[in-house]
Amino acid sequence: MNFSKDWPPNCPSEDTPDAAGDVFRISKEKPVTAASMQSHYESGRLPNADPCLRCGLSVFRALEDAINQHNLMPRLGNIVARAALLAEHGKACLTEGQQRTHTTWWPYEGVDRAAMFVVIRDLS
Amino acid sequence: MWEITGKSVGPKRFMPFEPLHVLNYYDGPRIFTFYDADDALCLACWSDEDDKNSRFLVVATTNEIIGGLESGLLSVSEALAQPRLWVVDWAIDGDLVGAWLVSQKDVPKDCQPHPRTMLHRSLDPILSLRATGPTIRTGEIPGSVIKSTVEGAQRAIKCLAEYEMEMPDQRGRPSRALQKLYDLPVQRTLAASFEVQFRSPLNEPDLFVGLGENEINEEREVLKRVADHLKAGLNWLTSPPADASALPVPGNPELSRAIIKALKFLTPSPRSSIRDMEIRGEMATQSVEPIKLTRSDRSILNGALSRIPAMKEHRVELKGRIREVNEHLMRFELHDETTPNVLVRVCIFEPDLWDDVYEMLGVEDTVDIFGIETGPTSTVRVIDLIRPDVAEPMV
Repeated sequence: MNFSKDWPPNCPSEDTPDAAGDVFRISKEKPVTAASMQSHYESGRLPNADPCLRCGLSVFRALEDAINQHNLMPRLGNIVARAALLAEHGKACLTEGQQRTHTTWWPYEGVDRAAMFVVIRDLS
Repeated sequence: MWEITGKSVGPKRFMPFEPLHVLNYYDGPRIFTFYDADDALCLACWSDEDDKNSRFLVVATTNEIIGGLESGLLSVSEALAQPRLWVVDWAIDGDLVGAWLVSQKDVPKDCQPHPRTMLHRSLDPILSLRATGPTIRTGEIPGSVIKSTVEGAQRAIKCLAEYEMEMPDQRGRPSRALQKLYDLPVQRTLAASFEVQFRSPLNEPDLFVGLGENEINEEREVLKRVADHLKAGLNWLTSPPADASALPVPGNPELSRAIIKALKFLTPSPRSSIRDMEIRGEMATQSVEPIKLTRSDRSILNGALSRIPAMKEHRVELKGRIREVNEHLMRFELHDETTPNVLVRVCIFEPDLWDDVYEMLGVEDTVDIFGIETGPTSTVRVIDLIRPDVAEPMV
């Protein structure tokens, strides 16, 4: 289980905890597709942003935070999906200063991210 | 992305579009401040994107507005409601490729923040009351409307908190969070119609200092019960049609009475300037749509109250010395001189009696208490107290 070789060295840092627990992510489609699971590194966006954060995906630990994020930016998508993260899925940690349960998840290479997520709420 | 109807302007004025302070991050900065080309502080909020560009709403801003956003005084849409609104397209390679001066009404609803959505969920008001009526207009709000809206909410919550305070598990160590509910902090007021929003007492940083995890969970549980009582009452009152014979909590007349009394504080009086009261917030409802209470709900509440077996309230006169005031719960212990063994009576009082209670606290002089009780050892609801220095009629 490894991260992409193209990521910056030591990304994420060694003390980042293993992924664990339920997380929620916003999607434009149901069922969730790979398009909703792309990091900025993969899509090429924000080349000048923090190089390690770009490789991670934003998720929330609380459903209500995902709903609040949707209410702030409806065009992110109307679907909220949930996944149960395990250590084999990568590493994850809370990202300070944002919504209380915002978490960055760095998935291991080869993890089928879309297949992990189950649609639980349609906010349209 | 959505079609822009606005005046094209040069995007250079917004360069370098470098996030200064990120207020919201989701796969990248979504809401942030930045300095434009003239070093003026601006606020950017993500609106939409496609394969090539991300689109942001941009306004001029101030540190005060940003502070208001972060403290829950402003919703994000209110922070964006500035005299001039721009749309800026940010290409994935980091260049700005377009900018337009637009009108907020031309931004599709799903391309801007929902009204009332706060920067963080934790900033959502726990309870929000909005009074509407024919005489309620911006700049012309009767003082009675302000008073009944703010006091109505505080007294409604206090009513339910008092019910929980009488529970056996609260007698020894009153919940800190419950005590905070006795004077629910106002988060902000909005002048168009009249709306007051109350902040959750759980957000106070030092509230649970010194408590263990189990105790903190008990605090949250007690608050949840108060919210559940209010929700149950609102649901009972607004579920059509309101069952004329039912109580909010069948089988529990005491709780039903507390709930009905709380709802009366929230419901417009037939004689007030308030025609409707819209109620929002997690203490009242899970829905984003408000619950609306009208003057006609008063008759339902009065009818329900009359059906509850009488609690046998009596007028009571006591004489004693005031000891042990709890300022949060607005109650004191009266050492009752009229009973053979100097019984200690717990008395609850309203804010207008504060000064008198404090002046008599701890002094040796006795005070005359006039109140309502339901039994010889029950809590006394103080109507008035007379200090000995004014006991003699004025000549």
